[in-house]
Amino acid sequence: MAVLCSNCSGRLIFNPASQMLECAICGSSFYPEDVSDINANAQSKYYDTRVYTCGHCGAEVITSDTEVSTFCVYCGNPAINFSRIAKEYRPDGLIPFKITKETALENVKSKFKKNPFIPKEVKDKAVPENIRGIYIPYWIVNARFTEADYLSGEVKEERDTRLRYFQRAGSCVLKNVPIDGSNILNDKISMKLEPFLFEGAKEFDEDYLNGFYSNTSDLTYADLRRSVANRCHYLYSDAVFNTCIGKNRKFIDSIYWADIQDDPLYMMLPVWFFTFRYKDEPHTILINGQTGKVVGTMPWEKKRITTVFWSVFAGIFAIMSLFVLGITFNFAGLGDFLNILIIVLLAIATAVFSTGIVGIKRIRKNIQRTRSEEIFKFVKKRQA
Amino acid sequence: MESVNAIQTDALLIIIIVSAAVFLFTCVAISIFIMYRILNKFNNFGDTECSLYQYSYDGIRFKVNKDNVALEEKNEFMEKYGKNPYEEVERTIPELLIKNAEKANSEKG
Repeated sequence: MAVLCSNCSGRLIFNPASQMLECAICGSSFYPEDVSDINANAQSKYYDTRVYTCGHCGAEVITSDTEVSTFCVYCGNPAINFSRIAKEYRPDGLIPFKITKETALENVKSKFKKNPFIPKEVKDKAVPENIRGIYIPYWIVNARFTEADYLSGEVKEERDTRLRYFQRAGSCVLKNVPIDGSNILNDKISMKLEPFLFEGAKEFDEDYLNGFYSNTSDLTYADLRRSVANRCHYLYSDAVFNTCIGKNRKFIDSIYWADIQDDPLYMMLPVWFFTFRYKDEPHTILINGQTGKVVGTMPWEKKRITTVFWSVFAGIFAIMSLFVLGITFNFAGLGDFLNILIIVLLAIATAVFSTGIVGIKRIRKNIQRTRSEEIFKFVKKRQA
Repeated sequence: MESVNAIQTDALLIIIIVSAAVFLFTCVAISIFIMYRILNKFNNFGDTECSLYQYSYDGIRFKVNKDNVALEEKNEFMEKYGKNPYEEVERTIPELLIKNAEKANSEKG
């Protein structure tokens, strides 16, 4: 468990800016490696954590810190009590937070700047109290991967467009692939947080957890194998896709196999979670605690979006009207030209319509993930 | 003569309706596309992912890389690669993953 300051017995908190443990009372600072914790045993497979429970709603809070908040975020009740010390499996290493809470907040706020679609109510919620630093458990694996794919694509041959088929089979070796070790965090979101730079990794020392929250991996080996295979397939198929020519390419059939090499590393990687409620729905924006990359989809104000849509529509309508009127006046009598124009317009419209619809669907899907109640609870369980 | 005029009027009406529909559809389509670009730029953050080459130094070693393949060859191809090449390989499983499996099994039981 976390140690106290050797000078004044104050609480030591890890400061990402200085990469040192700092005492909030006397201002002394120590390197985490230099601090000897009488409770910690680096040889042990486990390290201690504190579990707190809310006397009102029964919610459980896990932290390796020496202090816990005085209220429960589930029910707002102050009756939160120390419950027990639990032993958690000691990770092989961790990447310490490099981005401070203030920088993380600044990164989020910079995304808000000059953004007319984010509701003011949401902008006002970008305050330190809504940001929590959590060490997410990851498995860092080396894997061999084999995949066979059968694809199709439309290839232009002289004047005709023909459907062609492609065969691709191959293998690759992947190193240091981070696999999110928590079932509750959506893999599609955790994937976007990458890259994590492993040159900055340290041997695990629980003192780095001071001032932050952490979680343990709840995956089984079968889960990990499945996640590795899917992750490798995702990376591999993207590269294979680009080796095929033609339009409207798609996978018809794929089979793939992954082999996790021995001794995957169990590591804690730093992520800031910015959580808030908007219109009674939870939202979570993630910030990579090492690189500062912001991931997530912000809610938008429907009224403003509708106004902008109709303004854009009016603008397009006006431009198109002028264009068509001009054509009509200048080329009156050139029926063929107008027919060609209509066909071209229709083709362009169909292309941009489908792209627009697919794009908006993707953004809506992203916001569904951001709005996930499970991630919200995941963060709230590690309340500040 | 009147029936010819009536046919011409109907044809003109159809042309006007079709042209108006194409015109409106084009306006809506372009507006939706612009809205998608705006939302993607302003409200969708960090929508980027790493590529294979972030984790693989030598990329993919292709055993088959064939274009313009006949559709009938598909089953033969899939059958050839349908077996797990790593089936015989035995790996050591980290203790935490074994414990998690035991815990999951006991919770199910």
